[in-house]
Amino acid sequence: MSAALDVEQLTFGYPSASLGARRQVIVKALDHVSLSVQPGRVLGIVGESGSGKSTLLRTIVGLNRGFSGTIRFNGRPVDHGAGKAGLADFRAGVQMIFQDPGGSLNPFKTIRQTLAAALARAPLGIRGEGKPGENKLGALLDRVGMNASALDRRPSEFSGGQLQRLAIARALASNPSVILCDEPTSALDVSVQAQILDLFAELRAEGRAFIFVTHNLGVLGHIADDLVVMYRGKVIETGPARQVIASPREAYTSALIAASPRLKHRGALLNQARERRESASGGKPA
Amino acid sequence: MAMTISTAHRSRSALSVTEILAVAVVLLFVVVGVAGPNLVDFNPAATDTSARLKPPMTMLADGSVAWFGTDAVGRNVAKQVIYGARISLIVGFTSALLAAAFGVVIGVWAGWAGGRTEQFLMRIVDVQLAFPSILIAVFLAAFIEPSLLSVIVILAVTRWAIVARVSRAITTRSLTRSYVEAAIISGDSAWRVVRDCILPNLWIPLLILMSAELSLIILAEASLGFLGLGTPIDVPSWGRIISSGRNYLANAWWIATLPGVVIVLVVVSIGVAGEILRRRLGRGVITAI
Repeated sequence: MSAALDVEQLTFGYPSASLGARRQVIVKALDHVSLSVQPGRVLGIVGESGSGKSTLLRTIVGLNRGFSGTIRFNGRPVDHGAGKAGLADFRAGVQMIFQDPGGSLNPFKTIRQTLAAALARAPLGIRGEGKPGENKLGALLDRVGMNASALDRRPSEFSGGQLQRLAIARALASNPSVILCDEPTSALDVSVQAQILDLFAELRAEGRAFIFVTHNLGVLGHIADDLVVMYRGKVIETGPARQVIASPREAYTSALIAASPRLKHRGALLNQARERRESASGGKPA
Repeated sequence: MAMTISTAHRSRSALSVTEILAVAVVLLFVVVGVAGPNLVDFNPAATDTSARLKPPMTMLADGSVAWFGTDAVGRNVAKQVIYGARISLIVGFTSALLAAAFGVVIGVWAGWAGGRTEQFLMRIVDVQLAFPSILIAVFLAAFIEPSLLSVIVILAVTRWAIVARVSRAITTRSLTRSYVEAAIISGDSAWRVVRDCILPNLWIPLLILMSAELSLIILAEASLGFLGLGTPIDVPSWGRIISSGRNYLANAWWIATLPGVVIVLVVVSIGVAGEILRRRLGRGVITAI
């Protein structure tokens, strides 16, 4: 099966530009990163802050210019300088979900305006002729578990979980085959996290590919098929998710797993917390 | 944020007596500036030496009362102040608008472009802000033929830089928001992103900033008039009236003092009205100015 999205030898550095500086200092954020994701599969990318996971997604969608390496969508190389026509397929086919649900929808526009604009940008085959009608917008909301009463409200009127659903609805307007998620659940509380992850699972069952960036191995253990571990801009370990978590090859990966409270230490941490609380309520010094 | 809004709710909605007075003074200033010259007739060339240097509240020969007294050539000071209000109003608002328009363009451009373009534009702003604005105004006025238009342009030139700095800061901050990135990723044109995602963030901070700028511009216009660098001699301006009364301070204090009091009242009232705007709309957006 051919990859929905694959990245080969992607290298990118943040230049530190300042007027009068003789030499530009390049901070290497991605160092020859190669990975690929198949339709209907979830590729998890994990690593500590600053490991380059978010930079990777931002580079793929074209927010970072001046990288080297190749990005292929459905086997065809993507040229971010290609202009509207050249990029139309890629822009419709690859959508991004952001971490901060409160900031991912334009606060000055109603949900109707935001979704209608997203539909209007979708290729003709998906949006159909004419203006997007009420039922098209309603169908998008229905798809993410919201209803049409949301249409004439603004983002400030929704909770974090609802906003993330609406952001997903916007992403779905162009019927993407690849969805890039940058910590999409880390700003949400646990019960809402689970609902959003369920929604992702449904979308994946439709054959969409996901690249899922998070520092939360617990979340990835649930949904990822494959795992990529990044450290300082490099891919240091890849493999099927279960295998990487059960028997990591790299010491760094083991440390990452050991540091994840959701997997091994959750019970221990809970007990510690309980003990602390009991001793505090008992009036004894901690 | 939600908490500060709810706890501050009562004080945000209620106006104090001072604030009501301030709003009234601002409204009066606008009404007098717009309609005043149509209500009283004043000819700056018409002098009446028999009525020179009359103190405030004097009944004049034609039966009218000179509320603010008369000047050294017998002209009614109150009428001059009413005419001057129009000049202050026109100069204040058009200069503020011009400065805002130019500053927004430069600031958003710098914030959007980033890198060296941003550095270059912002250093210009820094250099300009390093000079006292009245110095720049005097310097420019020395080169340009005095006219209402030239005063407007000069004062706009002295005030755009702070607008550019604020616009750039807001643009830079907006660009990090996910919805702006989403718009960029989806291929929206630069203009569309600026229009839909960045400019809406600017209006309220800008409105608050311009209320402060307005009073500064009115003061600067009076200063230029006082220095004889403002509007032409036949256009009565508040600064020029004060200047003309300077030599008579010992025996006719009202010529310089009463227009001065009017300037202070208007400037302070605009400041207080701006503070009301800031409190009602600001929500902490503009703490940096």
